[in-house]
Amino acid sequence: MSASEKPDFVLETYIKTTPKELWTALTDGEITKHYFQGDASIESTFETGADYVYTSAQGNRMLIGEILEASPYTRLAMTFLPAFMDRPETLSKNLYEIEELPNACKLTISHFGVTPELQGVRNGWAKIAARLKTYLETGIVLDLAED
Amino acid sequence: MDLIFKALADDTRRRLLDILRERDGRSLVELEQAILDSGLEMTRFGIMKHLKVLEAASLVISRRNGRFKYHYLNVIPLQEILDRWIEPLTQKPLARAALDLKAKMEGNVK
Repeated sequence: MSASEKPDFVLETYIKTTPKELWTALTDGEITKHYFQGDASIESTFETGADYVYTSAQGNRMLIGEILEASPYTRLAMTFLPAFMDRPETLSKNLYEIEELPNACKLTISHFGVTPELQGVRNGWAKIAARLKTYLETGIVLDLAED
Repeated sequence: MDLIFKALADDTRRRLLDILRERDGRSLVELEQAILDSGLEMTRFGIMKHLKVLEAASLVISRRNGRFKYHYLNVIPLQEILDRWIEPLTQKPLARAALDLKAKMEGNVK
């Protein structure tokens, strides 16, 4: 993912945590199920080029794609394809960036190549970020109504 | 938190957020045009000043791409305000009921 690409949207949130904990929260299925859409667990080796899949609590494949970049504690980029959608010619991509601050981390989530069918992901990311922050800071699993 | 409320306490800045909500990732020139189209008069310098306040409150994020800087609406701070003040209100039936009652009575007085 080159820096010259222009994201379609960007979210930033500050979380009282360490880069290591935040990285684990992004990559450990036992934690993603506490904040991701559909309470889904992620599974992947997190090597560049590896596949990943988010599986919902009910056992349905929700989101699939390929790991484009995985630099522990700083950057995680992947292609993004909701499992129910037909595969488009070019896949959209999402990027997590972690920046360490004195008492917190700044997490930036950006999404590139968002097609009209994917407009809903914007709300999705806002909820994911809110639930992730709440979970890491308080251990509480927020129950936000799904769209 | 103060920065957010300060940033929101201005019509032009709220307008800028609305414009970005419609379509994210706009350059300064595009924002200037959109502000003009919405019937407000504002110099480019004025818009830059407003963007600075919005960025300080983390309500707007900018990303540089080549020669241009693009601006994005960051919904997270607003979501946090919602979680902190609005959500507890909708979850506490007693407070909710009191508000409903207040609205009803005030409505009746009219």
